[in-house]
Parts: sequence; C-alpha cells; structure tokens
Amino acid sequence: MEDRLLVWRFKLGSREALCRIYEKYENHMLTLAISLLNDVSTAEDVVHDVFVSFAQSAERIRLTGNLKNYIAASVANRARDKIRARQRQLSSLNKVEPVSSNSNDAPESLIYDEQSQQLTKAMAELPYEQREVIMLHLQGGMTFRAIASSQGLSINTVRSRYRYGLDRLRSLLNAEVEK
Amino acid sequence: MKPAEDIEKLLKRLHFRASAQMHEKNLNDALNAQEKWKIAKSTVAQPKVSRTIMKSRIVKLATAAVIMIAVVLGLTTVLDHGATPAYAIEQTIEAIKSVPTVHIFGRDWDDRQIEMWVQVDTNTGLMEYCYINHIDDDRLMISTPENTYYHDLRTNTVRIKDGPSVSSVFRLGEFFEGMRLLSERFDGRITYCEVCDLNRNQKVIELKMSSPQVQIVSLIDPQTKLPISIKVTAGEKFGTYEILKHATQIYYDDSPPEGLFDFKVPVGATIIKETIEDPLQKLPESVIQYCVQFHLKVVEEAANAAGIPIDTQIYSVDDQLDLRLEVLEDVTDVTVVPVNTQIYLVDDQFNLRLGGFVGVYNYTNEIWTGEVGLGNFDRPNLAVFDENGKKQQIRLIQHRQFSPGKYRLYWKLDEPLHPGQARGGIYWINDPKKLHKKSPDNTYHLRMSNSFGCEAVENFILILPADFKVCDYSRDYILNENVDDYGTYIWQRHLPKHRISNTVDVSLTAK
Repeated sequence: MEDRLLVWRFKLGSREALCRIYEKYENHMLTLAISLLNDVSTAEDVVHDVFVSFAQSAERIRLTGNLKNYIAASVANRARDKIRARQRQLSSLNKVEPVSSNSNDAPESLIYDEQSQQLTKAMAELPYEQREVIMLHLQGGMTFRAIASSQGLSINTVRSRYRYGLDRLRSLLNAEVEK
Repeated sequence: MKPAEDIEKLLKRLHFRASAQMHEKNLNDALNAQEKWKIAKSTVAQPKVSRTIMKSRIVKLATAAVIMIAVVLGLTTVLDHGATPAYAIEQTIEAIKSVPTVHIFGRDWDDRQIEMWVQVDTNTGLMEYCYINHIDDDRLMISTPENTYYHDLRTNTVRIKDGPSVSSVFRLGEFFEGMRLLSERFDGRITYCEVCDLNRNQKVIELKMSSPQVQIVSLIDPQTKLPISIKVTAGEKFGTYEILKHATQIYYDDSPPEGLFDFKVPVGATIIKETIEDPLQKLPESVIQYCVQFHLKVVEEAANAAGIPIDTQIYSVDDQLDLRLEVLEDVTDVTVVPVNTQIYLVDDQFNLRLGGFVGVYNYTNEIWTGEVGLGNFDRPNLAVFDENGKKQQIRLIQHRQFSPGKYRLYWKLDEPLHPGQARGGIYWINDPKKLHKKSPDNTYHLRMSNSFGCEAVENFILILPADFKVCDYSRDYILNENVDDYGTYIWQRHLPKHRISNTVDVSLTAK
C-alpha cells in the first residue's frame, strides 16, 4: 500500500518520495545485483544506474504490479546488460557489509556471514539464466509467472531454470562442505 | 547437505548493506536526475499525438508498442555527438507539429509503390484526411473523419466503412516519439551523425535506431529538422536487412490537389457498404445523463463516506492512474470503495448492447489537451458519450504486442482538462447480441454479470424501451424509473474483497 502512495507522489515530482523509495529498496537492489553479478563494484554501478534512471522515469512509469518487482526486474535487466557487455570484474566484497536479518544474534550472524559468502560464490557458478530466475523469485519476490512474462519465456522454462539452479546450487554447496 | 528448502531460505535471507558512501552518492545523483527531469519537463512542450503505423508485421508490433506508451513518455533525450551541432529527436517532433500536410512517396515491403497524402488538424495534431494510392495494385484508400473508402480500380469495387481508417493512419510525430521507446524495448540504440545525401546533394542528419529486431534510418533536414526519408528494415536477428517500409521522399510544402480527399463513387462501381447504423443515436441524451448522474450519486456517497474530494474518487476506477483507490486510502487513512457501473441497453428488437462508465481525472500539474487514455477494452467498436449525452470523438489502438485482442481507448478532448479537473461519460460497445428467447412463455433472458475482483459497489443499469417490462428477476432491483421513452432498472451490490461473480438474471417481455 505504501508503495503505491510513494509512486503516486514520486510521479508528481516529490523528492521525499524518491528518497523513501531509494532507502526502502537500496539494500534489496544491492543484494540482488551482487547475487546476479558476483561483483560488488559492477553491482553498485547497476544500482546507481537503475535508480538514476528510475528518478527520471516519473512520467513513463506505469506500475501495474508492485514496486519491489518492478525494481527487481530493472536491476535484473541492467545486470543482464552488464553481463552481455562483458564488463564483469571480480572484486572483493569489502565495500559491503553482509548482515543477518536477525543481526542481534551474534553467533548466527557469523554463520550467516559465512553462508552468505558461500552462497554468493556458489551462485556465481550457476548459468546466469538460472541465477536470475532464482534471485528474482527469492529476492525479488516475483512469481514464476511474472518472471516468465517479464522475460518473454514460458512458465515451464522459468520453473525448470529454477529447479535446475537449486539442484546445482545444492551440489555446489555440498561439495564445498566435503572439502 | 542442504535440502533445497534450506537453500531457498538462505537465499531469501541473503542481505547486503550499501556503504554510507554509496548511499549518499546514489541518492544525490538520483535527486539531481529528478531535478533535471523536472526542468526538462517544464521546458519541453507536450508532444502532440501523431504517429506512423507501418504495414509490415514487425513494425506494426513495434509501432503498436510505441503508440501505447508514447503519450506518457518524457521526451528529453538530446543526442549530442561530438563536434556536430547538437540535435535532438524532440526538434523533429516539434517541427512536425506545425506541419499541416505530408506528401510521401515510398515502397512497401514487397517493393510496391505507394503515394500518400496526409492532412493534419493543426489544432490537435491528429490526422484528418488521408489518401493512399497503391500505385502498382491499382488500389486507393481515402480516409475522412466520416468515412473510409477503399477503391479497387481493377474490379471497380468500392467499400465504404464508418469513420476514419485506423490501420492506415500515418502519424509522423509519434513515430519519432516512439523511436526511443522502440530502442529500449528491443535492446537497441539510437545514434545520429551528419552524412552527405548524394540524391539531394546536401548534408543531412542521419538518425538511426538499431536493434536486433528492427532498424530505422531517417534522414533529417538540418535546417527544418523535418524527416526527408525513413527506411525501416528487419534487424540482424532475421539474418537480412530486408526493407519493410521505405518512405523515399517526404515533402511538406506540397498542397494536395483540389478535391483529393473528396471521394466520388465512379460510374458503374459496385458499392459494398460496411457501415453500421448506430442505434445509440436514437437514445435520448436524458437517458445517458440519468446513467451518469446515478453513477455519480453513488460515487459521491462513497467519497463522502471516505471524506475525499469527489473528483478524485469518480475517475479512480479507470486504470489510467494505475493506482486506483489504494493511494487515496493511504492519504485519507480511510477505506475507499470504488464504484463500478455497467449498463445494459435492450432495443426494441431485443438486441442487447453493453456499456459502462469512463472518466479521466487530471492528477498532474499540467493542462491536458488532445487525447487522453480511457483504459483498455477487448472490443474495437466503441462509442463514447460525455456526461451531457454528446457523442465524443475517440480513437482505438490495438495492442498488437502486449495484449493481443485488446484495444486502448483514447478520448479526443474537445476542451482542455485542467489540473484537478475531471470528466466522465458513458461508453457503449456497438456489438449487439440478440437475447435468447425462452419457451414456453416467450420471454427473453438476460444475464447481467461481472467479476470485479475487489471490494466495490457495483451497479447494473438496465435500459429498456418503455413498452417492455421485467417480468422475472433473480434479485430485487433498487430503483425503477422511466426516462423519456425508456424504462430503467438498477441493481446494486456491495461486493466483498475476494473475487466473486456478481450476477443478476432477468426475463423480459413486451408489455
């Protein structure tokens, strides 16, 4: 509900609405971009580009779904462009701070930090198409149908990519543990 | 080690936090971009609606995509290219606005020659008259605001249709407005450079949009900024750069030959009339006014209950805002219930026509002129009447790409709509259906049904000739009044939040 109000105000040119939208989705965008690109600096560029572009789009934005989905799809599109442009560069994760959703719990946070590093590393091993579907579904909160529609794919293709991606991810993580 | 479910949970919880530096930079850049957009928006004039619909399938698809969204585009891209003088597509769009006549020679996808004349209403920027001569095929099409004539010279057959031709409309400005959108949608890019046009022996601007699906190259006169040629070819995705459409020469100073748009049926021609008698013309204005007033009364009650301005509520059911009423609920912190009204008109032959309420609300700070969107419909044969019962000029554009079978309805405003103002009216689908006759009592069965999808007050208004009556009904009506020579019956239901089918069955008979 809040998002619709924010978009409405944003379309009318509200700075506050733009700030609120950014603050609300900044980390979400960054997480998605890092997961897709496995490259922090490129991910930061993607977030920057998506949001600056969003700021200029007040007139043409016509939100039929929810804002989070819209932003997630924008990040994915931009990340795909980056991939296509072969601008991937590996870099360390030193500019970002992985945090837990229950960060007060210190031991779990540590575990989670390790896990998040493991996960992003494993994610990077997946074919991009699978990674994209997984992250759009789990991080972007998009349904398979919405992903299929936004990417011009059949829903079965999206489901397959998701399933194969998770299988591959599981085997990668298992292999990591066995080492 | 980990079942898929655990991995899903972990991925959902994955969370990175942006550094303060990144946060500050992105936010500042975004706010600056927003400011620039605001400034650009205030200095760039609203584009008038005009566009090209090409005949090839791909470009039709592409153009349809453009048409749908071009009206909401902020056209601020300036393509500056190094040392050459800055050029912007907006300059071409702006220049086209003042052009009253366009004369084109070109070739279709099959290399057949076409000559085309377009006369534009300079007040609205919309095509008024169009003449297309398919030279190689001996076929002629003349579109006027009243009728469209198709003349096959070989068989001397003339087909006459109601209203202007939609499929053949050539709207140059919108074509350029949409070029950038095409580029975005088809993963392409727009470039320009100065080239020497050997045919004209002059330097011109070459504006090019390249994408895997389609490539458009237009030569622009550097002085007037008007396009002097446009070539549309299939993109690299299709392996060849096959020409889909080529406007080889475009002239703006020519005056159409006198009487060019006055089609006269040739002697001995076979005439096929495809015109439809509009039964709605017989419907008194008072009946339409009654429907509108009833709808507004219910809306006013809902607005009063919610404590919001009625204008804001009236038109928010329309999809143009994309926001519907949830926004207002946030603003007012109250529950706002939308009102949906459907109208069922039965004529004296027991033919049923469907209608409903349409409206626009100018929620921006700008004055709206020209055309405004009224939503999407799955029928192309619509008529719109304003709140006073006056028939309105409309235009329907088919969504060929995104929603096949759907049409976007545009209302040609006869007066500007100022910020905060609203206007509404009634639409009719001019596609009569004969009601089913029941035996043995010889009554006619009508089912009124809708599935609105969320909480709403829904009205079904049934309009019958005065000598008809409702003899049986599955639910009680709330109102029955006579308006001129028509009887009106109204059913109302407060729909719950979850989707339900709201249905009323009635039996009709002549008194």
